Amino acid sequence: MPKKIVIDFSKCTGCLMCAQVCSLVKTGTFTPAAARIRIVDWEDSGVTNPIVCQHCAEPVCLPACPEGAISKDIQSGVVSIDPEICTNCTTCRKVCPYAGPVFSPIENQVVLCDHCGDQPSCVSVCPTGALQYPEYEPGTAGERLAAMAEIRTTVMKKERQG
Amino acid sequence: MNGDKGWTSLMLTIDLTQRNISTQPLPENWLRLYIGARGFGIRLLYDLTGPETEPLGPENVIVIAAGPLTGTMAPSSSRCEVVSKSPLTGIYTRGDVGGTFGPIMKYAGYDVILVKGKAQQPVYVWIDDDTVEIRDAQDLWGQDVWKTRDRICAQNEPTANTNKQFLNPIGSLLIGPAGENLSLAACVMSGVAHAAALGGLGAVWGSKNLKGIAVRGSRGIDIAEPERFLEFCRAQWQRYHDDPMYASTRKWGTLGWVGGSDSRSAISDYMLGGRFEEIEEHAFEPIIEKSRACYGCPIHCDHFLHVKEGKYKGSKGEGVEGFVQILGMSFKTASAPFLAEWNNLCNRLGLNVSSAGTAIIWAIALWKEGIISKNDTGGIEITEGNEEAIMELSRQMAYREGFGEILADFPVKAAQKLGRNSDRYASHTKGQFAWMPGHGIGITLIYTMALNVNSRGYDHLMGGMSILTPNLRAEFGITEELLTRLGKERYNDADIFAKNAWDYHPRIVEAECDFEHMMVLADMMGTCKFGTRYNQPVTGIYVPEWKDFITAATGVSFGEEELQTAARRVMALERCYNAREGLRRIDDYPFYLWWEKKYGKPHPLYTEDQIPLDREKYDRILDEWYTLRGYDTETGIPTPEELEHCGLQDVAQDLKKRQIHP
Repeated sequence: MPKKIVIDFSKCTGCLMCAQVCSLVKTGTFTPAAARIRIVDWEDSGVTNPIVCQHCAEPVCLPACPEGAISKDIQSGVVSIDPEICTNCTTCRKVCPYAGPVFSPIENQVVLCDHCGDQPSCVSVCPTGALQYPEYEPGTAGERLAAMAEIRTTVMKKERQG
Repeated sequence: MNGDKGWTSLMLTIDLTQRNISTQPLPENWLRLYIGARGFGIRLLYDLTGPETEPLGPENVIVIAAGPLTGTMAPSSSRCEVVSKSPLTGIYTRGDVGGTFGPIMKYAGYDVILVKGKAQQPVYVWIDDDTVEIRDAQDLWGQDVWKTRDRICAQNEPTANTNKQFLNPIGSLLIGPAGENLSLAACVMSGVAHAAALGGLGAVWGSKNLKGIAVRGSRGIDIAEPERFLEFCRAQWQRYHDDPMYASTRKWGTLGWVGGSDSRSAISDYMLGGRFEEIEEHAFEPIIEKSRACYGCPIHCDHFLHVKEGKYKGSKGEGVEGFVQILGMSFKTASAPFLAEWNNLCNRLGLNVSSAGTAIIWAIALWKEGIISKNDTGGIEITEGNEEAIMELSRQMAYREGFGEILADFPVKAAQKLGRNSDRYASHTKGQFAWMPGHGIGITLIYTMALNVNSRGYDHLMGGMSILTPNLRAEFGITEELLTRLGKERYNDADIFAKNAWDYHPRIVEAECDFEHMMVLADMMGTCKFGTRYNQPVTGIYVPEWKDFITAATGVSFGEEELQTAARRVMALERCYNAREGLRRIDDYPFYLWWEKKYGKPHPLYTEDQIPLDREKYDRILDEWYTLRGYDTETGIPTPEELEHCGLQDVAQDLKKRQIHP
């Protein structure tokens, strides 16, 4: 069964270590701007939420790519971008509900989380267990979108409480 | 030596008078000699300012310096140093600040940002990698820190791409109204809740018409041996789990220390001998919403607080520390919702919480003694536990209004202004108010010395081996057995920690010097002391771990002894800076002994039985400390030989020229 990076944002402290280690293993540098995982920080409400490619069962980025550079591996479920074909137009990023694809200034290339070959570094360093990597029944893009909407609603609710 | 791994080796110089922006490589030998952050800070300050520098004049400088580990994954590596000549104390001061600014400044490509001169009108500096602009800030002047940060972020985020904000966060160092109004209680705020606090740093920024610096970076930090570096990090994270303090620090941060503060004489009735009995150890628990961390920190000692009911309902914000609760006990109001709201108010105003708190405790003491009355305070009754008065006085301190005009200069200048023998209540060391134990006395003999010999004045972050004392409570896991074992392991002396109290111990000063090197190295590396043995006494980072981290990060090989010498060098240089300003041995005494020496008669408010400090023992450890450090025992100034040993020949020449050295 495919695995997925699952995020419990209530445990996230915003320490950025996921993004730091991601950039280190992918580029040999500490450059969170080049990391495949990012953190949204709603400073006013104290909410921090890591965001990373969810390797959707029906990725919306795949048909949106004008160059056909995006593919999905059926077995592992991993969605990837072929750097040879990609023109860095960032259409994929714009259509993705998770802002998964990232333009890395170090590699000068739009890049995507690849689960570090089934051993995600970010999950291994997360100090609070906000990131997990369980086996996962693949949902449709629609279901995942609903989940995302729920996160946003929770955040908005918190905002309103103040 | 390359200097392009770990370090960026680049200094950004911003001249506000000339509106000139330039970059320079740092001198290559500085990397080895001063390592980073606190080291670069004092070297630049020593070279660029001196006794002739007016702290609030355009000739003072602002140095913001990061270390080689800032922005990496080395535990708690979020710190940068903000250094200037202090308008509060007239000597060297620095604020070591976490949050996000230091790492992002490194990601933008700079180890050091140096600000000189004075802008004609309010400005802020915008940095986006190699784009650096001095921008108009007239519409931001007068705004609080949180609003200013919001507006700067909004101005610099392309609205077309709303995702950009989290793609690449913005770090900011900002002042609030306190800094603008040159309140000496003003700090510089990193983000919304982290402060470079001591010494009135915010007033220096205000005097330059500098509202703040905002930075975004995507150039990154190169690492010499990425895999080895990550291995070292993983090993250290693992070791933390074996430390007795780790779980408590992760859950409570500094709030976890509050329960022990009665035994550490931290709660002060400002020298009047009283104690607040209602210590509610975990008073903040109901309003803690979640843990927060600075960049790169697995410990996450910070919290996000949200008051959900009562008078302060709706108050939200980050970062109440244990000392805020301790100040609250001294106010005689330990109400967590009130303290959270007060903390937020100070953060918004850019007011150092400990400055404001200590000044108000002073005012409460003066009120109680009948030295001040409603006529002085504009009708405010500064009684114990008066929450409205505390809020209003804090606001007045920031705006220099009403009685705040006096409180803003606390302690020395405030007491001078007020007169009426109020100076006897305004305890300080080197002009820096003694904020924790009201009278400048610590928990042990050696801790008391550490509080008072620090280069920026009264300071609990000098050393003092504060956790390794038997009078802390067993709930931290600091047992007699543990102290005995650590003493044996580290110094081959079972008693050194286990009997670390008010008695003289022959090897305690040696251990203290060792410990101080670790504290200074943490500041030089750009990391927080919470990852070190300061707060993780058993498995925290110490010199061997620094050696591993810095070598893997920079590719430059350092020895343990070399690192210790570098720390010694930085301490000597800071001390020479202060010696140039006229500081001598007398300034290394706790307040009431300083008083005796200065005025030739005992401090009028102390009785001997109130204070466990023995003068002879204090003199003895101070002598020993000077001797081990290579400072003259009569003056407390580093000797020419010590400066030679540290490779500071130019400083020795300078001191000779100024007739400070014979």
